[in-house]
Amino acid sequence: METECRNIGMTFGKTKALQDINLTIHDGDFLAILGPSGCGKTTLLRLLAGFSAPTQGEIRIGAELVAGNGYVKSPNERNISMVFQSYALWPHMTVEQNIAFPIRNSRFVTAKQRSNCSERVQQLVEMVGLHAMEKRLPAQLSGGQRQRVALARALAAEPALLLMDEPLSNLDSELRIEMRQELKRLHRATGTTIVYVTHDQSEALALANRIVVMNHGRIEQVGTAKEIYEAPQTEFVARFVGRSNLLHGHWTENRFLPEGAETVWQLKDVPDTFRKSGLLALKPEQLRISEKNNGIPATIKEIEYLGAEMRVLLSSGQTALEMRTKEMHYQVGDALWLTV
Amino acid sequence: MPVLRTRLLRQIVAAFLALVIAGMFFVPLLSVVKMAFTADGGFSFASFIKILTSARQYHVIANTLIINIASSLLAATLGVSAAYCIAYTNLPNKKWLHRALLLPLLIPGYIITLAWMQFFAKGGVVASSLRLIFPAISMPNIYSFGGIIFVFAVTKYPIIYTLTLSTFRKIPVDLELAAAVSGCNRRQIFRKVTLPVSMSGLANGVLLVFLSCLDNFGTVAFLGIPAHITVMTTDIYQSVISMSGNSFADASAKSVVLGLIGVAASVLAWRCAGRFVTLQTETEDMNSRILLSRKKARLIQLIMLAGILLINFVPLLTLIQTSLLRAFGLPPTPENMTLENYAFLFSNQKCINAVFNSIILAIVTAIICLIIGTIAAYLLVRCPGHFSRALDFMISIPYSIPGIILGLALILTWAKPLPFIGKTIYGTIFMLLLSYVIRFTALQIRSSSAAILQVDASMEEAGRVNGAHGLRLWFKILLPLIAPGCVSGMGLVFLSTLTELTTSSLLWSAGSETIGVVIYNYTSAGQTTVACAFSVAILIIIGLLAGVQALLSYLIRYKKEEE
Repeated sequence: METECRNIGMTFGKTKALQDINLTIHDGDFLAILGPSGCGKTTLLRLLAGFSAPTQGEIRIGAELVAGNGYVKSPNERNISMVFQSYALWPHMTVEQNIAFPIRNSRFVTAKQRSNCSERVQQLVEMVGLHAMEKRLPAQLSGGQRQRVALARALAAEPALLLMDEPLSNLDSELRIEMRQELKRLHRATGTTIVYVTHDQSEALALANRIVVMNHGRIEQVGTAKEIYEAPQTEFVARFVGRSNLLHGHWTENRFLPEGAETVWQLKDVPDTFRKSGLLALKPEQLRISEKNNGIPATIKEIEYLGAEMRVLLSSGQTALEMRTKEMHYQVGDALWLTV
Repeated sequence: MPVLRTRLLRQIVAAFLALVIAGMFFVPLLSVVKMAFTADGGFSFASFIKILTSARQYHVIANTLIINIASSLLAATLGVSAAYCIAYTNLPNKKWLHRALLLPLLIPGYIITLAWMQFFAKGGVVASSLRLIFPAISMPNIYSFGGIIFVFAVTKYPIIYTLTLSTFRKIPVDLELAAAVSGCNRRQIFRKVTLPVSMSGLANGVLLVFLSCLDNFGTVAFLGIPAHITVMTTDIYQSVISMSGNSFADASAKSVVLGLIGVAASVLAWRCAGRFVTLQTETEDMNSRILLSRKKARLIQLIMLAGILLINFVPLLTLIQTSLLRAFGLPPTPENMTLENYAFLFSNQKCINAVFNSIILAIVTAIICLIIGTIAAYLLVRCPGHFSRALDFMISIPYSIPGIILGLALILTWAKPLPFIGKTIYGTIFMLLLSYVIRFTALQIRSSSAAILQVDASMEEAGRVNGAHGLRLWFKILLPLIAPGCVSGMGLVFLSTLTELTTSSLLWSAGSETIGVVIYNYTSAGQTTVACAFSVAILIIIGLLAGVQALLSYLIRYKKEEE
């Protein structure tokens, strides 16, 4: 079942939280909405859930119009589910009761499924590895266990669309990596369509098969993880996802002439937006130190030893640059030449 | 060794303080228990046997329970609905609705009762106006179970309203959204999530209303006595003032029963509250969770406004209207209107005295409570331990128990002539002062300790390392920081004392009448129009005080903003 957003706009008073959002979520997608805080990603998720109504445009889940033209279908009438950042487990219900709740209440659950409720709950409990904790209250669980209950609850009614609002941000880093794998496994096992909101690009890259990058209420780019990382189409995506360095210069066909340097670089597959604005996006690992003393001049400001590699911060004129390298013969304050 | 000396000194001071507090606040209550077990000068169960074998007494207990439980439930319904509308919806002018809902907290319950008596009066202005439209209509009788329950509910709902409002706002919004995406509509969310997670707060609110009804004297005396509906407080009151052979022993035994009912209710409510989860969040989310269309919001606002007007304002208008009548029961025509009742108030020494007495008593009580309460609060917050907790317990008990028991306890303790002096303070205004201080210091402790808790201990330590000691530390550092909180507690004590009735009804004497006592006496003597006029005058005084207070806090804020 496809979910479609057409020309969505959302204004709060005078601020435009969302503009011209066009997005199709395919069946079985693991779609990440990635962007910095305040970019509108949570607003978009809340629109999909039905917690608020768009001021413009329409949303369809399957063929059915759920929001648009002043009409809005309330959350309980949509075949959706959600995992909240705070988990939102009901403190007065046990693990079992929390998970069974959507099965008992959702109108999209068939009578047969409802009569098999306890088996289904048991199956979910096993699936998220909470065996023997069915009778516990949320207050008696650790953060990771609560997260698992929240996941099981969201999957319980087999929703057509599962929304996740930064579900891992309250976990410590080790647990976050573990839950990431768990999420991937659950997605593979259930095939549920997932929309996953996050501000963490590594999370989005690791989890999603499609990523939507948003900034200032607009969609910047939609694509697979590889496309977003390797072929950013806009300045923002290049910087936010790839932490790229942006160099000013002149383009003539496939040749780039960096500003303040006497060198020409041959480059392929550069999007038009960069050509037009005279920019080149280079990831830290794409920059290297020139042995032949040509390229762009730079001074080392800081060297951070990260173990497997080194992170080098440099400045070239007014521009701050970042580079990653495995070997380094220079020291802070040294002048050198950078090339691609 | 100086250390030992100061430590010894400190222990002596502490022991002395504990003795004074215990003797003043706690020992009188024990005398009630002792009296209950005394007959013919010796230990005996006679009084209890008499009570527990009397069918009349079971009636009284049943009346009390029926009225209090029904009132608590009705007040809960009113309070929870109002809190839900205010906390959840985007009603316009919410702040004003909120303030209007809190009005009954400001007005003494017996004045509201008197006002409702005028509202429901058979020949009153409401009845006669309704009769113009529906000739066959007859006003419901307010001197009945229903009447008492109704008046209790409309005077006590703010207790539940304020508690539930804060509970609702503390429910994380995600809990309800999670229920929405799980398939619940608004009503199901309320029933399955909102209500269950607020249950523990609600149980506490219901308990507070129940205890407050148990403590009440004015309403049940005004409405119950004419209808021969006796509850525990009025029963004890009648026993005490009957002054017959064993009246004090009977009253004491009844007081013990009344106290036990209170304790049982508290235990039951705590048990209930313990079975429900308590929310861990402390921050209140002030956002509206249900965004109504402008039309719907206006409609709900209108309904609430109409309800508030009817419950909190119209009765007061009928009170004013009666106060202007030449004689009670006359139809409200222009020729029956007069200002004579007010003229009477100003010429009557008893009324002027009562206002004077009450104001002086309220000021002195507030000052004494401020001192004792703040010191006790300081000990409680900064030196927690058995000693300070015992102090807090002894000071809190006289506030938690029904005031009528305290009144009886003080009579039993202080009616005898004092040693050496040979005189007694019973029958003087000092008896009232003592009773108010004992009753209301607990209020001051709550406000003061809340204020002291806000001040981090490091503030004092910083003062200490910078050379401030003892009193200097208090005056230069602590007092300025806690003053606003303590003063607001003082205001609460002042207002409570100004219009106190329950204990005063037992302890007043000729010459030491208070506002509450005068209104009570005029009402029970059938001089309704004078009672109404006096009540209106008191309302004006309270209004002026509230106005001054609002102005002061506005000025303080204004000055702060200017700085």
